[in-house]
Amino acid sequence: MNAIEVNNLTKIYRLYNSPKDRLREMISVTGRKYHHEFYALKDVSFSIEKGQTVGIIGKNGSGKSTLLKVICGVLQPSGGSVKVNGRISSLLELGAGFNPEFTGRENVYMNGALMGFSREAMESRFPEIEAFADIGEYIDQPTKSYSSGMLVRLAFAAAINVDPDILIVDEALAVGDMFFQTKCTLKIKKIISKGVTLLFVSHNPDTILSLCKTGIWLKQGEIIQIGDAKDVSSGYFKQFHAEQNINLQKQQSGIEESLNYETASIMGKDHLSFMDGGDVFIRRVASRSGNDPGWIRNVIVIDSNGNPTNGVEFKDDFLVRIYLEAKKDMDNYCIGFRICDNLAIPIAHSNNIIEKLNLPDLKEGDRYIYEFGVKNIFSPGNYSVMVSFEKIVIPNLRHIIVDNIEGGEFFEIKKPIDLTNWFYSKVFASNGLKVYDAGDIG
Amino acid sequence: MLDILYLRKFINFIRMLVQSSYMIRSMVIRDIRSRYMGSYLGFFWSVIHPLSQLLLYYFLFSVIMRMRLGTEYGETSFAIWLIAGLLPWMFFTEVVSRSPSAVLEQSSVIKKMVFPSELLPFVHLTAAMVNHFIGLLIISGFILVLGYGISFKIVYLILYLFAIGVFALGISWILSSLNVFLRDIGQVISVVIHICFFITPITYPSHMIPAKINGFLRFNPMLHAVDGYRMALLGKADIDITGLTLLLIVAIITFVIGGLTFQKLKPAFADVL
Repeated sequence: MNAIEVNNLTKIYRLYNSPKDRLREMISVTGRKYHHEFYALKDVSFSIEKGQTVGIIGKNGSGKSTLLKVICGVLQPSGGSVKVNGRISSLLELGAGFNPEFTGRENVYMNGALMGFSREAMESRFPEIEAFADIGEYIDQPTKSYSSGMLVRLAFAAAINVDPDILIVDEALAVGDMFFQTKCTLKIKKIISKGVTLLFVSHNPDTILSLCKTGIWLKQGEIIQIGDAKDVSSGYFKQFHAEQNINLQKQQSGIEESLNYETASIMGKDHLSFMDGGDVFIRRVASRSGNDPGWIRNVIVIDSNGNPTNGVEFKDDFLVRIYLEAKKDMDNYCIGFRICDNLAIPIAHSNNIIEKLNLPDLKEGDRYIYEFGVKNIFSPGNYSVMVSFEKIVIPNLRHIIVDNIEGGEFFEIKKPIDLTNWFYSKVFASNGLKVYDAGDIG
Repeated sequence: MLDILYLRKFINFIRMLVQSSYMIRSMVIRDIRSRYMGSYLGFFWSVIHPLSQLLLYYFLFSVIMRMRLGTEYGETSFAIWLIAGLLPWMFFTEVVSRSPSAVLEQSSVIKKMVFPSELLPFVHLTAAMVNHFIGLLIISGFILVLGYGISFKIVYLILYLFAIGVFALGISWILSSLNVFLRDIGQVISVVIHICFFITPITYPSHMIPAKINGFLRFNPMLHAVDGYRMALLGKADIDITGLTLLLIVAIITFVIGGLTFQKLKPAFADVL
């Protein structure tokens, strides 16, 4: 039997320009409509078998939360139907369904009552909930005094400890700290193994992949793809990158310039030209500063096969390639870059002074390509490249910024496909190792 | 056929009351407690508040205006007579005046959970009833102490209390659900309650109403509720069967209309809140 069956589900929101319009429409004799309709969900159909784990991905406003709310029964569908078999426990948004004036304890009992549990049944469950939430004496304080982390702790503990048949979680867990997130993930995995159906929304595709076998990709209220979670999330990312490129092209259209490409054959790299990905700097950049007498035209990341990429394999060395154009004659300049982590904190940098590389003087209109080889010592994750083009006054002390681009390029270090082959092991006899007491050191 | 349909809805409502009894109980306790939490005199405010009103009206109508109570209540103290009429009114208005905010103030829950919001006015009703019973106990004590005696007519109180409760619940359903869409209702209702207080014979005996408008004001169900309470508590007058019937009919019709209105509007709550 299917746990959840959704047939041709449509949810329309009536949007009014002002509350007055709502009233006007209510009392309108002529039947004139004052609203315009917004389709939050458009003809959505799918079914979820008992015990299936389903992750829903999509951009903000794609209808994910609306879908969950309709399945939970909080919202009424405008068309189509939803059939649910089994008891749903849901965690919609932060501290779902908590009354801010009530204490944590009261809210837990109240939630239990809404789920159909008697006071006695909740009393036997309460110690477990309290222990899982682990918020100490705050349990007897009104929930309005809770931090968002505490709220989600208690809400999750309450939602998961009531023996649901179907657990619905709406990206609420992201608020908790790392330890709690891990705890929740393990707990969810545990109850999944008992055959509970999971419906999960998260912005983090890693979380979805770790918890869900099936993926649903929603876009503007419609299902774009449904199937294996891996396929759906990679499809989603492809689309994401494609959309980014469209944005980039839109930005580029402002710069109409006939480019007369020339081969910058210096340092033996004559196969490189401004043609390969090195067009006018078209990427959306976080911040850009500096002007005359030159500019950075582009920066790209090249993988070990020589192809421009945004996804570098783990441990696979790569290149940062910087395209430069001089607007005036210039000598004594410096090209550098930084690699920053996803919080924009610089973690590695280099420039031609550090690399002891002399650069040719620039003539007006010269275009050069600079390539830095990067030893891939980076852990999996997302990184950005900051590039700078500077005029040297005193080397490494005073530079005048000619062009400086933060977030010039973004790339990801992929997770290793094989997690096991990075180790070696050795065995020593215990007398072969010197054991230090704490007192021996320092 | 239609009545059978409504009857089924009514039975479902009663079933839900029973199922959610624990939740209602904790919400009522919470409601009463929250009203007095943080105050020094706590629960005594529920006595002090009506008492101050009583003293004010007593001063105004008995001391200054020297109101005559007429033949039936000629011997009765004005204060006791006044409070006997004030109690049902305060019970009724407590429920009605809070009703516009009943659904709104629970919006955080309604938006995120499948919540039986039709119970919210019932929670207010129950909380008000607790206050009301305390008031009744106190007035009964006074009646006994002052030697008026309590007659068998006190049994009629149950009927009147039931009628007022059903009436208040019906109005509460209408106002609480409409106020989600039309927030003006909360403002309008306090004005209306104020007007109704003076067109209902609470601070003056109903026989003082001029004959010209008497026929019209007789349709005010609360007039019969107030008179009925005085009759039942003080035991002097006879039961007004016509009045009680009118009160019950209006109450039940309001209850049905209220229930249907709420049910019709409830699915859209989560969309609008």
